[in-house]
Amino acid sequence: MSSESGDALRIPIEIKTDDLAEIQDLINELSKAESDIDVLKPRKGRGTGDETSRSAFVRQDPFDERGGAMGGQSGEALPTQGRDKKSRSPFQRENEFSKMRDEVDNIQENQGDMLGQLVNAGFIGNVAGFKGKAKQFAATSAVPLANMAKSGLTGGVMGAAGLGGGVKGFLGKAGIIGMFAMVAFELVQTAIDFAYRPGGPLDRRFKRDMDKESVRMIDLGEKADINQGRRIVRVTSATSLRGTDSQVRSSLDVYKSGQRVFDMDGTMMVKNTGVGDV
Amino acid sequence: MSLDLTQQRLQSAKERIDRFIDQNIMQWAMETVLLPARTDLENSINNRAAEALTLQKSGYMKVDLVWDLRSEEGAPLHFYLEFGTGPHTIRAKGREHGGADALHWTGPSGESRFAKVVQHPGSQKHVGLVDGIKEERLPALRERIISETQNRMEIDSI
Repeated sequence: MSSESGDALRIPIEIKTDDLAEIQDLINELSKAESDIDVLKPRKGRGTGDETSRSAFVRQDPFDERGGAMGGQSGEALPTQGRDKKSRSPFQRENEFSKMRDEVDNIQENQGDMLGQLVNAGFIGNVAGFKGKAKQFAATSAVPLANMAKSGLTGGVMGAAGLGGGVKGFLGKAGIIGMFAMVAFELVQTAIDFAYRPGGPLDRRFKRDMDKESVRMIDLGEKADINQGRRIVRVTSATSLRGTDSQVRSSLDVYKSGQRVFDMDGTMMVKNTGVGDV
Repeated sequence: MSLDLTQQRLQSAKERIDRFIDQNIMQWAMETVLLPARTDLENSINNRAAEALTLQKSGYMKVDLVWDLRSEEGAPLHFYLEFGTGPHTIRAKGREHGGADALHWTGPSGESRFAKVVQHPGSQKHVGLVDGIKEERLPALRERIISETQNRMEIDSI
């Protein structure tokens, strides 16, 4: 369409990308790519992104197939076997109750073994045989205990197994002696544990001996003066090396700084050395 | 390049395409529309009519084909050529008006002819001349824009 503005003939040529099909297709493809990016981008929160994508955002084990100098060294800094993946803690905490229960079970098992050893050695049986009341108690007790007591009367389990009479008498006496030895051993062990217990008379742990500490020699008033800065602790014999309330200097600090401390006359320099800057 | 940056570039792709077209449309229109149109005008009318055709940037992604062909007296010949004329009388100006006393033209057999007054039958020959040039050359301009834009997008990695 022509116009006649300014007395000149003007034929407008206007380009619109909407009219250009190829450009419009290109823009549509770009818009599609833009929407695809929304899918690729990791979602906020607990959701996972596109699991079918090979993007690094969704890759679970990025170092599994790592090659190069570090290839094959894909071990993690923290162990993963005992790791609770649901927990935020890197390690799975042990259950204290289960741990204590296992310890109790272990102690009971050991005690059971010890009791069985004693029974096998005939100690308990001899105790029952040595005491008449115990024999009577054993006779009226449950069948296993009665059988055990009965075997004890005849020299223990080993005696019941058919050992000879001489050997049987020897083992019976040895069982009594062993029993008393074990009782004595337990008493001594108990006494030692009592003496070495925390706070006991033979407690070996570190204890502060106030008589040997120099702090005791300082009066509380002097401590207050030092803490409040009214008194300066001089850490060196050099008069110009003084500690202040904020810093404590010694000649070693000056030497470490690499500065000249003494001038040509051998006088300690004060200016620009930080020494004695009170 | 992060996905966010890529997405931002994609979002601005249309604006960048339009801006690219706007920045280059003058050159493309000159090469695909103006120069061929001048050749046509030179062949069909004369060199002066061809040189009177120009391009002007008239807006965002807009150019105008401007044809301003005038006589020595300033008469808008481009209108006469573009829209044609009806039958009209042509008179010699006369010496008192700075012109000649007689009109002169060459006849079909090459002989010179003179007259003080002629009756022109009107001109319909060049109606829609420049507009026709635009319609004829516009597809070439479109193709040029498309190819240049696609090349630019490939070079610029969108």
